[in-house]
Amino acid sequence: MNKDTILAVRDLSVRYLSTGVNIEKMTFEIGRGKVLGLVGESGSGKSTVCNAILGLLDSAAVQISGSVRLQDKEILPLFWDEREKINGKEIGVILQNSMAAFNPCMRIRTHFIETLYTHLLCSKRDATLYGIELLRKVGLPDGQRVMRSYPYQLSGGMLQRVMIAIAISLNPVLIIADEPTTALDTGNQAIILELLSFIMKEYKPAMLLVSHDMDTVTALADDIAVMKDGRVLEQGTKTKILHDPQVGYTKELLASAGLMEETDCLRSGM
Amino acid sequence: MRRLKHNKSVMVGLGFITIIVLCAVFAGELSPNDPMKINMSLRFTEPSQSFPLGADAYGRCVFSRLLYGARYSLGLAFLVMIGIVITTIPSGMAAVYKGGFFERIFLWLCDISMALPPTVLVLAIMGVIGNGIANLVFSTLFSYWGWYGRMVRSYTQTELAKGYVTYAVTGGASGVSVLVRQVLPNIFPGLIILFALGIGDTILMISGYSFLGIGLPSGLPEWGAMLNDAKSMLLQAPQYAIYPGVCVFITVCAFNLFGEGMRKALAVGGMGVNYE
Repeated sequence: MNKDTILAVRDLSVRYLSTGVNIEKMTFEIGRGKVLGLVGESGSGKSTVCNAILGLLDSAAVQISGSVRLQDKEILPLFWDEREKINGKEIGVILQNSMAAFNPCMRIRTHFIETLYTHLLCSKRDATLYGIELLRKVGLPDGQRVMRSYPYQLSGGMLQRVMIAIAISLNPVLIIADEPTTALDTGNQAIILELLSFIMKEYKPAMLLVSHDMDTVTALADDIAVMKDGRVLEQGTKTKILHDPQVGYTKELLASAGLMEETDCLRSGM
Repeated sequence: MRRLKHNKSVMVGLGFITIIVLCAVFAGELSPNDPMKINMSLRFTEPSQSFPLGADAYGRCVFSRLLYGARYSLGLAFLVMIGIVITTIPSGMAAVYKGGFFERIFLWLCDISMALPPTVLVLAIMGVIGNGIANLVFSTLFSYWGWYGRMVRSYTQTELAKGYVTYAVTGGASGVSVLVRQVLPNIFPGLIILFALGIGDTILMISGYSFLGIGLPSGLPEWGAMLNDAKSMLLQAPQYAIYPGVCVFITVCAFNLFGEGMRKALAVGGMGVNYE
């Protein structure tokens, strides 16, 4: 394994014991400062991959096999007490529905303090000041007011930025962005994408970007993996996927995002 | 908070609760006479300066007895509710969080508690381990426990499935911190309503038992017991039954108004459970 590899997933299989998606033998790697875009339709198992990496799957309901290594450390079989040290600190998370992701009876300040205090022994005052600094970085200059606000007093776009600020607060080596722009309008989507690419330049983490939207993925990703029904259909660099897609499904996705001429699709026999 | 201030039933309920609690706390200072002192020469005296509501069949001051009665009714109800709070909230939340076997055991215990009718249960317990305040509190607690345990469990379950819990976990929050810091503040409004309504219930229940002569030793100025004393002379002197009856009525009303008002006030903003 390359020493710049941050996350290495080998033969990850997830089987839901009741029904639902099965992930079969997923393999991918993300290097430092690189973005892997995971594209696929709803129910293709993208979020399951994220949950497996974060250890959020209920071990009573699923069967997991394979290996997930974060900087040469196997994290798949970890128990909760060790998990707590990784989640939030080494893996930062940006979830899709920011309106629902914040505790409605906690101020934004408390969210920062909770995250920072869980992993560092810092005072509340320091956590708040650091939080305001981070908020400025993600484009919320009136940090004082945001810190005092409850989640319902902020807009979805603002909350998404707050979430990004919290995700980068501990300088994680890996950021998992699970549909970061899905719940936002077009204008905010563009702003968040710009912000994410700024974060990539500034902090150089590895990023797993999950989206059903080819546009979002192509805007950020270095590599792209296309998923359907729990399998990776195609995987490669952005240029390769964009210009020389091998699988019909990838071509369909590209065409639907307007990234490929309709005629190309027709010509290739679709 | 502002919504609560503008809610009439919350404020009226709270006002009455405050008055009743003050009466109970300062019963010793407020009452003009010793509530237990028997003086046969004062039997059925008319209301006067020193006996504001007259004296009962044993010449005891009715007004003083009502004030001290608030102590017993509220005290016992609070005791039962505190017992329920400190047993159901931790065990219910832990049961949901642990899930599986623990949750099943918890639900079995709730089912056992809910399956036995409270009156039968109390009579059985009293019959076996004897009469007494502690036994009364214990058996009331036991028969109410299951209902509240189940409510705590379902509130917790609803909250645990929400996005912010997942987000907290991805931020590295531990199980205890998720339950205490994230879930508890969110289920708290619902629980306050539940327990406020529960206090009214418990007062009624305990008064009912002491009316039947169960639980409290005879002669104590409990409202239900006073009703029982007045029963034998209901036609000659109905006022002795009316006074404690009104007291129970007002107290239960106050707690129910408070609880209902809270529920409505909190439901408007999307917090708590909206039944409408």
